[in-house]
Amino acid sequence: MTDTNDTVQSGEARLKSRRYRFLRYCAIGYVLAVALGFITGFAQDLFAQGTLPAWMLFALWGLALAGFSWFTVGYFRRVDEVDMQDNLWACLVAFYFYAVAFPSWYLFEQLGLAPPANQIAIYMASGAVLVVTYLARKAGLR
Amino acid sequence: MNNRLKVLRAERNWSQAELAGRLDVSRQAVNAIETGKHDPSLPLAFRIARLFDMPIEEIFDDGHE
Repeated sequence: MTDTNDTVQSGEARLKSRRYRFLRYCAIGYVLAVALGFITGFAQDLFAQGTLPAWMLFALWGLALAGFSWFTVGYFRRVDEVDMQDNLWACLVAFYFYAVAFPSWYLFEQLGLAPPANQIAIYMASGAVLVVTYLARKAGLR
Repeated sequence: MNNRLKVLRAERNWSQAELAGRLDVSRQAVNAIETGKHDPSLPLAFRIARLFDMPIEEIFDDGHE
């Protein structure tokens, strides 16, 4: 594979092309996600007004899930093994954060030492931990 | 794991981007391998060996005789 392409394109040109294809893929995924976000938001309003049946919301949710799965599989096929490791480490650290944060908060809540566990806050914090871990690895902290 | 990737690349006057393109990986991957922060998978090690036309053990050294 490499030998054949070497005669056609330089390595730097191939890398540039690879990066362009990857960014284009991410851009398409982003545009589709934004579009689906608008559609589901609109559908939510229609459902609240009683003009949209519940099954349509479930169908939209299924569509969003399928799109997310499609993008994720494609993303992991496009990244190299180092980026794959960075992603997996970030997910692992974020999961450990969640697995510790929620039970800890729940424990303190049960002891009357903390307010009720805020799932949204823990979810957002887990996402932040994921991003920070990924960026730290990208910065060379492997 | 130690490796001679940086030396082999320099001998051919290739940039990290040039080598990355030839191996179909990112420039960060080449940098991580060169600095010993990432040990390449077996398929990637074979690709590297084929690119430089050398046996894997002449590029990578795990410290064992």
